[in-house]
Amino acid sequence: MNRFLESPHAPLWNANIGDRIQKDDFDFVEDFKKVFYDSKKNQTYLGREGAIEYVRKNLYLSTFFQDQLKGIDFAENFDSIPFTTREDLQSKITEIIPIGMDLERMVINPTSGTTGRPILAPNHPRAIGCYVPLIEWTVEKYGVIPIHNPKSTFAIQLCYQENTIVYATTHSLAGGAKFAKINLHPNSWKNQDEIEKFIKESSPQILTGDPYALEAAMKMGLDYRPEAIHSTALELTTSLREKLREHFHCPVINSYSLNETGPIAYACKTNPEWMHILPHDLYVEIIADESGEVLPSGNIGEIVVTGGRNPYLPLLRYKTGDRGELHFDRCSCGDFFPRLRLLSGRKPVYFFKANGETVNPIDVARILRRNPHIYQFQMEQYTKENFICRVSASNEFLDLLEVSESPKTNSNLKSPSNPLQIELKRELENLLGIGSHVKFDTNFPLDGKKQTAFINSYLDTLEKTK
Amino acid sequence: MLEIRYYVKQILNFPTLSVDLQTLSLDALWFDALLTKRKENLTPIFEKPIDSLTNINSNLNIKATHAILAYVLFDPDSKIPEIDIKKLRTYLLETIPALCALVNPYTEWMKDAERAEELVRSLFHTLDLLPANETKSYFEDRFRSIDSRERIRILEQTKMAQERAKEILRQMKQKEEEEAASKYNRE
Repeated sequence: MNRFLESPHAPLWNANIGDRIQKDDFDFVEDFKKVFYDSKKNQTYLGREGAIEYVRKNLYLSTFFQDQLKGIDFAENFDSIPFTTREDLQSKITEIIPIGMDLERMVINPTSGTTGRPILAPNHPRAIGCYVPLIEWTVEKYGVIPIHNPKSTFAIQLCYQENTIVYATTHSLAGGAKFAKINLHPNSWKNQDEIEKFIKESSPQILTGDPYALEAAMKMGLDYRPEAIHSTALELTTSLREKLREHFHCPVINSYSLNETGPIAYACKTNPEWMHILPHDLYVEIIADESGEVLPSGNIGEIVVTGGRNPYLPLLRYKTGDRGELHFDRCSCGDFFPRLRLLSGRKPVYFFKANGETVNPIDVARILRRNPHIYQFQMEQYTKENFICRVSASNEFLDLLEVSESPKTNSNLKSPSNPLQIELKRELENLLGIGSHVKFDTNFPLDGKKQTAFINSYLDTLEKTK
Repeated sequence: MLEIRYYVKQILNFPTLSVDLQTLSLDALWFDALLTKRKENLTPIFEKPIDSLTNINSNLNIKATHAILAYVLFDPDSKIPEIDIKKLRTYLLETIPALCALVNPYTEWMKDAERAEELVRSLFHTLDLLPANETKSYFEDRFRSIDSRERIRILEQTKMAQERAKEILRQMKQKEEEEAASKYNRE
């Protein structure tokens, strides 16, 4: 491990993170793995009966469950259970967390910030530890046999951000195999030429990352052949998947995962446009937008989940904010868990500096999320140099100025005079490059709903012009 | 005295389809059940007709729970010894309505083994009975751990406890700034 950390090719590590697994957690994940692998082998997906059992178990542990289920015959009429919303996770988290939970073991993993109002989902190292068997099973399905050996590196996670944590560790649940999260951005290296050398030296079996980072790796000509690529967080388009497959000469596995639930679905080997539900302990429903009724197979609606294994966050018909359709027919790939097709997932949006360099919107999110006055946001690039930042913010932030004009119809937006706005404007413009202008629109609604956080209408306009 | 799981099984197997709750008379049911148990003539278990004591007819959950309890006591293989009628009466008129307010519909007694066990243990607890192979302290401890009233009491207390909420929020804030846990992918 020290050789890994102290390699002359290593990035500028800036964090020290481990899997935080203790003996009890280890046993928990081992048990989970056994049941999960058996369920996949025997094709025993958590149906409605399983979801009812889960609800029953949590009914006496969480006051939120008590309130939601009051007066409801949930076993007979599961559809009548009220949904849990993203607002609930934000405002009622203290009621959702089961009583008697030892808060000491709680961890909060930073979200990648692809939506305007990220949820601080409390989690337990053991539930995060369950990612190991879930992801390993996924890649095994694509022919990768994970090597559980301290000398081996199972995965390297790629990012492309101006600023993020970069670390290396070993995963006790993977037999001590090494893992690293690295940032392809030049800021993270003494010398950018070291990126490829470090990856080759580490020789990871798989590369993980969001499509934005994977595309960046491809564009910088990374010459490395992993056994598979595992893509999450953003929508992976068919064309990018094909380009990545050709460049890296390996299968590219798209997957759907939420901070609140962990991995939910992975791309079907036979038909990668579809994803199979991955875990055996998550019940997935598709519900109609208006009526909230459960939709039969083949209809498009919002994805709602019940269950999971996060002891701090029991989920009761949780509305994910994502849309898709579910099919229950048997699949020729051999995985008979329901197939999910995500609709208009989180598309990657790129911002551009005036000199053409790209800016990862996650860096924008990082600045806005850390600002205590900003509750919800959206950033739009509407010309080469002009950006509008829509926010719902604290009264202190809103004082003195309110801008609500459309940026496209009125170019005379006032400049901020509130010191809080001036400071944020400066920070964002530093990130977005010389010549950039950021205006604030303070009329963005604070409704807790999953909203598009990043829009680049400048690029859309350019494409239309062409 | 049989082991607790025998009685749990009886509840889980309660022949619900054989009972017409609408027409069931609880006065008659309990009279017959105790007659079978004692093999002698009895005065009615309730001092007055039960309908005049409670509004049980409007609550099928309570009515059905009475039927389940009578089924457990009525069972010819049951090894439940002589019972204290006064305690049983108080249990049926006071404890059962309180339990049914928390565990409903009544089918939960039959669908959830833990709830079935809770019902048996609450009956035994009231009647000072001890299942086979259990010490009194084990019995008390197990009963407390599955007693819905106890759990709701804790839940309600917790709900009221603003301190807990504050502590959770404080911990979340702190944990957000602390080390996370390494994971292969991002979301």
